[in-house]
Amino acid sequence: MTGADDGGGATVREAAVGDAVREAAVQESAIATPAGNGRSPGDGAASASGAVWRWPVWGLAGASLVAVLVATWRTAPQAVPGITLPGPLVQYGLPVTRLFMELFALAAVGLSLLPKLLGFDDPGRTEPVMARARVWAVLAAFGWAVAALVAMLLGAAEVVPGRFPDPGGYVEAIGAGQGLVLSAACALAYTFFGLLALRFGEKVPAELRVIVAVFGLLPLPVSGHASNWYWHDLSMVSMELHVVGAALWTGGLAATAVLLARHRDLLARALPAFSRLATVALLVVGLSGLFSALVELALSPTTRLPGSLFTTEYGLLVVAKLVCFGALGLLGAHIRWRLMPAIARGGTTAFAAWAAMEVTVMGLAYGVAVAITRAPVA
Amino acid sequence: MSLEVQFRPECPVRRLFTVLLVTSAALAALVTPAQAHNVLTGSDPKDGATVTAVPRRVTLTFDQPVRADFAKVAVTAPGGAVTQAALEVVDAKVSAELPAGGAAGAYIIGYQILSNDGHPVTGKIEFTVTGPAAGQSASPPSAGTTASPGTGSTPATGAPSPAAPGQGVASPVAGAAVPGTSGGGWVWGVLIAALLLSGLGILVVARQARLAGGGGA
Repeated sequence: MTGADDGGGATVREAAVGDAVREAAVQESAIATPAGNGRSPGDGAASASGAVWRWPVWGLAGASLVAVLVATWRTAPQAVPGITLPGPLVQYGLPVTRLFMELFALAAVGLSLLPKLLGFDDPGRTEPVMARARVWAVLAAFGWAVAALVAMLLGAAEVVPGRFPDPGGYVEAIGAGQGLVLSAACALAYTFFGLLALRFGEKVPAELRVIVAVFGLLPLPVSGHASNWYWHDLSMVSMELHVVGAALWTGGLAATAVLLARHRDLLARALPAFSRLATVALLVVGLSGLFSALVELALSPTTRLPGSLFTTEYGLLVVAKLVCFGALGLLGAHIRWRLMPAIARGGTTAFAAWAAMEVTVMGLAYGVAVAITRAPVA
Repeated sequence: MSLEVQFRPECPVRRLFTVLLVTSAALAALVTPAQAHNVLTGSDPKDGATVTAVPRRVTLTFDQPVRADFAKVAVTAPGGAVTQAALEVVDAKVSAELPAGGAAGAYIIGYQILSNDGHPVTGKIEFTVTGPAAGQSASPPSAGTTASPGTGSTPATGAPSPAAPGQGVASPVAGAAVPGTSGGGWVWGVLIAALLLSGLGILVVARQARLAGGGGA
C-alpha cells in the first residue's frame, strides 16, 4: 500500500518535470536532427523505439539464465552410490537464485551510479530519469535482499542433502552463509538510503548509495572459491575487485542503455563518463579474473595448468569467460569509437541495440560466473 | 562534448576504486576464512587398485583439512549393499572403516565432504579385492564403535572421535586447521539492524506519501 502510494507520488512528480523535459528534447531534436524518432523521448510513445529500451533487460536476464543453466547442467556431480545428492530444486535453484541476486545487485549499483554519470548541472532534464532510477534501485535492492536470503536457505539445504536444512547452523558454521546474510543486510541498508533518496531526491549523496551497494557485493566472493592458503589474501582482493568491477561495468551500461537510450542529450552527457568507467572496469575485471582463474587452476593439486584449461570443467568455463571478455572488448570499442562521437554530435545512432548486445554478452559472462564459483577445479 | 562534462566524473570513478580497494582488502582480512574447493589427492587403497584382501579401513586424502561435521563416506560392497561408514577425520585425511567380513569383488567408496568454501564435494574411488576377507588373525572387527586401535596403516593420531552428523561442531581438527568454524551468528544481528533501518526508510516515504496525499485531496 505504501509502495503504491509512493510510486504514484513519484510518477506524478516525474510527469510534472517530464513535460518540461519533453519540450526541451523536442526543441533540441528540431535543431539537431529533424528526422528519426527523437520526437518521442517520453514514455514509450514511439512504437518503433518503445521496446528497444527493454532489450538490455531481457538480454541480460535471458542470456545469464541460459548460461547458468547450461553450465550447471554440465558441471553436475555424478551420482555416487550411497551418497545423497541435492535434489534438482537445490541443484538448479541455488545457482539461479544466486544469479538473480547478482542481477538485482548490479541493477542497484548501476542505477545508483546514474546520477554520477549524468551530473547535477541540469536537474530539469536529468531529474525525471533519476527519479525513475531511484524507484527502480530500491525495488532492485529489495529483490537482492530476498534473493540472498533464499540463496542462503538453499545453501543450507545443499550441505545436508536428504535432510531438513538448518539455516541457523549453516550460517553459524559456514562462511558462505555468513556472506549471503551480510549481503542481504547491505541490500536492506541500501534500501534505507534509497528510500531516503526517494523522499529527499539527490540531496542524499549518490556516492553513499553506490558505496553501500558495492559493499553488499563484497561478501559474495566468500561464498565462491577464492583460492588457496598462500595466495589467499591477494586472491581474495582480486575476487572482490572482479565482482565489483563487473557490477559497475554491467550495471552502469544496463542503466545507461535502459534509461538514457531514448534521451539523446542525456546519453551524450553520460556516455563519456561511463566510457571512462568502463575502460577502468575492463582492465580491472580482465586482470583480476585472469589472475584468480590462473591461481585457482595452478594451485589445483591434481591437474596441470595448460591442459587443465581444456580438460576440466572449471577450465572450460574460464575459456568461456575469456571469449565473452574478448567480445565485450570489441563491442565496447565499437560503442566507444564509432557510436560515441556521433552521439556527442547529437546524431542518431543504434546505441540501444549495440548496448543491448553488449549487455547480453555480459549476461552470458554472469551466468558462467555463477556456475564457475561452484565448478570443481579438478 | 564539453570539457567539464568530460572532466567531472573522473574523480568519483577513481575515488570509488580507491575506496573499493581499501574496503575489499579490509574485508578480506576481516571476514574470510581460507576458501577453496577441496580436492581428493590420494587414497589408500588407490583408486582403481587391486588388493589381495579387504582392507580394514580406507583412507581418503584431500588437499586441505576436512570438516568432520559434514563428511560422509558410503561403502558399496560387491553385492551392492551400501553402508555408511564410521569415520575418523584427522586434518586432511578421512578414514572410513569397512564393514567386517567383506567378500572379494569390486568396492566403491563414495564420499561427500564440505569444501572450505561451503560447497559439497562428491566423488568416489573404486578398488577390487581378489582374495578373501582380511582380518583372520586379527580380533573380530567390532560392529558399531569406531575406536578401533589403529592397525598401523591408518593415521589414528590424537584422539579421533566419530563424526557426528548435525551441527554440533565437535570436530577434533577445528583448532587451527579449519578456520571457518568460528561463530558466525553475529551476522543475524547485522541483518536485523538493516531490516529496522529499511523499515525506517519505508516509514519516511510512507509519511511523505500520506502528507502529499492529504494535501492533494
